[in-house]
Amino acid sequence: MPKTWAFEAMPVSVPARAVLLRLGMRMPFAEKDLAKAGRLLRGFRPGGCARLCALMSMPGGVLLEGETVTGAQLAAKLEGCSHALVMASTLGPEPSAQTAALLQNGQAEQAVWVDAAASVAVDAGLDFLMRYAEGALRPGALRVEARRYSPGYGDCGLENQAVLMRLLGGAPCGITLLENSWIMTPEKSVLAICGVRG
Amino acid sequence: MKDFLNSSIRVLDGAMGTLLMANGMPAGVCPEAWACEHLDLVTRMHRAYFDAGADTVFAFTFGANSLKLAEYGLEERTEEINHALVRAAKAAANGRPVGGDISPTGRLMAPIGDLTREQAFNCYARQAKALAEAGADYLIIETMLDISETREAVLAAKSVCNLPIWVSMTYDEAGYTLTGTDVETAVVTLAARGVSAIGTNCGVGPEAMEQIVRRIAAVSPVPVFAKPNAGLPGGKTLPPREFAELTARLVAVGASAVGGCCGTEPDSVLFLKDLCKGLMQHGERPALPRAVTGSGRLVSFEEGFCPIGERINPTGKKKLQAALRAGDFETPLAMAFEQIDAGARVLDVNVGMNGIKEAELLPALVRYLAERVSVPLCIDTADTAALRAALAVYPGRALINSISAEPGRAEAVFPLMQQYGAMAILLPIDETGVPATAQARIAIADRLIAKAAEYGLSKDRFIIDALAMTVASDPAAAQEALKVVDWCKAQGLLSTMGVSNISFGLPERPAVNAAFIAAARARGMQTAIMNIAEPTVQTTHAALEALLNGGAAAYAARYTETEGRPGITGAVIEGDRLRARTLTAQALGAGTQAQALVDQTVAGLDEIGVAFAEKKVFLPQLMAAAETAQTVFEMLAPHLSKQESRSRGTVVAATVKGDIHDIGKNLVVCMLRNHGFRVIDLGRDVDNETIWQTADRENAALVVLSALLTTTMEQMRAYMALNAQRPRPVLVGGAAVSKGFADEIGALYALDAAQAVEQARAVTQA
Repeated sequence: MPKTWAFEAMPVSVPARAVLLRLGMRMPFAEKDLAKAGRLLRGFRPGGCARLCALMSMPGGVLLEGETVTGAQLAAKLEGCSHALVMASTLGPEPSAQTAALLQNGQAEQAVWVDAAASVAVDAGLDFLMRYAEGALRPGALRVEARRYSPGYGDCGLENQAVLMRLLGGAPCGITLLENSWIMTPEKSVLAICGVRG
Repeated sequence: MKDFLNSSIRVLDGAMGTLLMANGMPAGVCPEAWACEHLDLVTRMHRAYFDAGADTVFAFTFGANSLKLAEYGLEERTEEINHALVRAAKAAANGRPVGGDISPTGRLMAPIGDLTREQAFNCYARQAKALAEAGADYLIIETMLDISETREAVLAAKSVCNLPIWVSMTYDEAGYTLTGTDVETAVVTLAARGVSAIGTNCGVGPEAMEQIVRRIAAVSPVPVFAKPNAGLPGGKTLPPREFAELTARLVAVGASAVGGCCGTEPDSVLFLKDLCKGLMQHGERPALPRAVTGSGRLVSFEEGFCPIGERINPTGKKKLQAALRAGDFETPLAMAFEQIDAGARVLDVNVGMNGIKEAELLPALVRYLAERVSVPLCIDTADTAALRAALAVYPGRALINSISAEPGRAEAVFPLMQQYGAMAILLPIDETGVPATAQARIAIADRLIAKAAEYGLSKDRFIIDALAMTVASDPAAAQEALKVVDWCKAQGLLSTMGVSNISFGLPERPAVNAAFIAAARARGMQTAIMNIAEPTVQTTHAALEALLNGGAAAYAARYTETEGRPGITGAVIEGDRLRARTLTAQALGAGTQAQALVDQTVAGLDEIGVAFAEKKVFLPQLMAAAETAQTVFEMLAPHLSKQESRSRGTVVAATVKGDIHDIGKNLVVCMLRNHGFRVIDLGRDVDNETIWQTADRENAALVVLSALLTTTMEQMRAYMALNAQRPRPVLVGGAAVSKGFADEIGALYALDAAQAVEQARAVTQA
């Protein structure tokens, strides 16, 4: 059974309204706003990777192929799962550079749009990985759960980002962690874990 | 098999994986190889479905393609495994049909994944050949997630056998495949390639599948089938009777055959058989729409006028020529987006110029664009080899531009249309050149349509080019072209034109082009190859939509959007920098006091701040207003006295040590500056000592600290300890920071940039 997948440029198939919702907008949305969000989204193709790991429960966390991910709440959510899908998605440094340049040029409104669209797009990368894994794990033996969790969820501390990154080979898709603060670079990057049953 | 899905409602089988697992198949093994070691069990399971009432079963060859088997080191056994598993199914069939099951390779096509077209084609051709050899009665390509890979599977299967091909895609609840193709696009793309049945399986349960089946049936010219999930391992599973009752409803929305996917068992099929007894589909299926598809979008030539963007053509465009020669596809991509934004629904792609290898460049550009834009492409070339290569890499149903009656052209291109399911523009010219009269053009078009019928291509596959020739050299050119449009309309044929030719050599060409499009549309032309981004053409297009297609409101909105609240206050509220600048210049010119204009600007900021707090406007509008205010302030600065231009106070802002996320802080800085504060922005990842020293040196009225994470917000607590030496107000914010945390460390708190301004104004009493 294949256990790892990597993609250089994943499609972002989320509706434009996701960007507007992220900006706090409420329906009915203006057509011009939807069009703008759509234009921005189509410029993003996150890179990503995922790994299917055998999962064992342990007090206060889970054991994934020899690596411990701490967090009793996370462990409770993954109860009954035989495996976990560990994932990373990133847009690289470009969106942050773009927003910085826009702010520098006094185009704060556009910066806000770009930032929101990039956040939606990088999350959409995780959606893609989960759906892809679901298909790849057929026929019927394993089922990817619908919900995913990122370090920072409940009592799953941010230090677990380093664990997930090790499971994904160290610096998945070029993502690194800043010393001491557990901040990921590039900024528009996300790590997550979701349960797999069966 | 020909009429198998055209008679009574057929019941398909249920899940095999679920059954085999319940009978001892362990997780983690190669399911097909394990099944080969338990062929008697496999036959028993198939028989259980037949006994329950299934009219056909799918052989357990789902993952028996060479790429999937290679993951277990079993690639060399591809033929053996497929042969054995088809035989095991046929042993239970007693003459009833068995489908040879084909599924995704487990890898995604480049550029999303690393699977090349050739690898996918070869893999599927090998399995399809093995299934046909083993006696499968039809091929079922199922659980497909990506239209490009599915297309390769269909092409490969057709290249090695003549079996009927059923295709089933997996959609999410909204009706999209994994790679973003919607239901209608997938159906038209596949139906155009001549598959025998189109369906959907897996992904969702029977209730969510209802809408998907309804959408498939609305456009599919071939029978529709559906296999929803009853449940998935570890999750909730619908009981067999409930599953069957919900699944049987799919017949009412257009399915000719129903079965089950994950979580279904023979009992589900038993109930389903009972419920489907005596049912059959009545009425004719829809004809294949006169439509083309991209990777994610269908464009029907029967729904509204279809502008085909003409700009990706190097003729007369030096920059595009240079880009194409250098292999720079960003330039044509930018042209593609520009045209889509302007309203193009299909994009013409032409790379014809001297000194390039068109058979290499055209497919490369077509593939590049098709992977990046969802709208369909019109492949424009006279080079048959280039056309063949471009069609081979195009993921949807393409439009070919064009086929003429010149010797050999139709004979070369019609077979490509058959193979790839494409539509084409018929160019009514022959070896003698462009006929001057409509009558001669119609005669050629008639001849081409008759010849196409010999290849099994109906007239619905074509759009007739009425041939817009230069009116400056032939005064009758426009009228002759319009007569061809009239004839097309009378014949029920689609018509088009490359309209820009009409105005060659005339002044104000856009006006001539726009008028000609209007005239041709009024006579029934459904599409034109045109420069939709040209303002006159675009405005006329919008006006025609208003006149002919009920687009009056959209037309009016093009002009009413610029009207808004009057004055500088209104311009600030609406974020209209240009208007604010104009009004400010006019007011200053008329002798208005600068301070009065400041007040109007601040009034706008205040009003939008309130609207933001009440969630009547949102962050983008707030920032647009702030930028507009800044524009006004910059214009007013030289006109304000020292007293008037005094800032509201100094603010030192920073993102704390260890944190590099600064867009939130930057927005606060922007807002504070636009509200008249002097802001010293220290940037991100700043240590507390630097922040404190700066605040102390500048005698800051307020320090603003931002942090995104729980790990870095602890720096704020440390700063407050430092701040205790010489206390001054500190405002904290950021994703992880809460009011409770701020209270705990003795700081002020702001949820967003607008609140930060309020807090700053309160602190400074400004």
